[in-house]
Amino acid sequence: MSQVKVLLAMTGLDPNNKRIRLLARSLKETGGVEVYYSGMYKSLEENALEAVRLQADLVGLSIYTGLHLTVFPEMRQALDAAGGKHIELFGEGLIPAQDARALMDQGTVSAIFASTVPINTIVEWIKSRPTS
Amino acid sequence: MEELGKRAMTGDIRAVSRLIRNIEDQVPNTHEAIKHIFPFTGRAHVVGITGAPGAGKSTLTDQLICSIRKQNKTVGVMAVDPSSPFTGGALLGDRIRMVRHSEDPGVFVRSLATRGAMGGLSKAVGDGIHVLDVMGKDVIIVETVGVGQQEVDIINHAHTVLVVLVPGMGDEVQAIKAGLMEVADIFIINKADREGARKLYKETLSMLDMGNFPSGWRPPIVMVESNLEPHSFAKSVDELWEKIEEHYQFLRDNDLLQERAQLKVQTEINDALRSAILEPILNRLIETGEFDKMVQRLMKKETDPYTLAAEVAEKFLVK
Repeated sequence: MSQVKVLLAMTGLDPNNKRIRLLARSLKETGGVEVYYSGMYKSLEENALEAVRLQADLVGLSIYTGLHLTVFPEMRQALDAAGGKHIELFGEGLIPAQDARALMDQGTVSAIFASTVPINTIVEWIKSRPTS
Repeated sequence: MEELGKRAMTGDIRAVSRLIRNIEDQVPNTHEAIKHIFPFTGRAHVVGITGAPGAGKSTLTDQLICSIRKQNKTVGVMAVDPSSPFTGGALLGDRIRMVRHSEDPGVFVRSLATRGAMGGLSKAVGDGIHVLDVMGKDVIIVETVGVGQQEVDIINHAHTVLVVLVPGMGDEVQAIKAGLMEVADIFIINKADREGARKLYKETLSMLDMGNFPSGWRPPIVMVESNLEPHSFAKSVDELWEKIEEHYQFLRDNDLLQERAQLKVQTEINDALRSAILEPILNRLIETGEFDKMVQRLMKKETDPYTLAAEVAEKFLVK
């Protein structure tokens, strides 16, 4: 009875949490997913440790501050350093398409969902991920 | 799997985390790891904390961790959140209130979803306690869901049970109905600066006066005021921790610890039998479609549940 386990995370002083909360709620209601939301103002390291403790399959990081090109690679590093190399990272937020492409090409993230993407698209993508 | 058990016993965070996840997911062979660690369990002091949603269980737990850490004891926490009974999905966020300890290696906090287990406790809790125990945590706090009437399961797993009440929620009556009063070793009146706290205190007191306590332990009532006054909040939680230790000492001095331990093993053998005997049979019935047929027959009132159960028992149980 393996369920996809996802940690939804925010970091720094980014206060734009409406959409990630909506995503959390949608995931809960759609079923078959266990979703953890760690709240605002967390460091990347705290989130990485939490993801490892939960043995999450996925970490979703929401960034609306424009710092995505710096923060996503740092999040990836923090996850690897905490012993979570196997944990997939995806992004959500105010992220231009060319930046999203760059991050995906680097292999930093598996997917980036711009703030214009319907929530259901993200939900379906998460549900399609393999569990460990 | 046995290897995983061994690594968990060295306190390896990743092994512990993986093991707990495997327990949750009921990965086959996880039993092997439990078999390996079981002889080494029973060392930690297990504290259960229960009460209505919003009573402040997570906030209290967070502060309790501080009180315990001051004595250089290590802490494991399992916070149980409900899975939706409709979709099976779960949204867990206890860590929002337990943030101060995330980088302290002496603290391990883990949220669990109930996944349909009744009694407010995840099925994984019993085994999870074992894992935190053998990883060397001195105190293990189990925080229940707080869904009201099915919270009493905690008594089967904890040495000391804390029941959190808050003024103005009318939950003294609820608590009595739910049988919470019988399981409490310590009552906490949280948010005691709110209106109605004295009244709640008096009600709890008079209820205690009516009770009898064969073990000799009369549950004390601890008042805890708002965490908006960090200093006094910390102080009252320190006092709460003293009471918890007092209770543990009482259990030890009076040979009652064994009694609690026995409750836990009884629950465990019950669960293990269920998953070894009942679940395979149920799965077979569902796979072969017999289960659906039985449902249909019942719907048509051709038979009754007891006759069906007797038929199934006849078929599967060797006398």
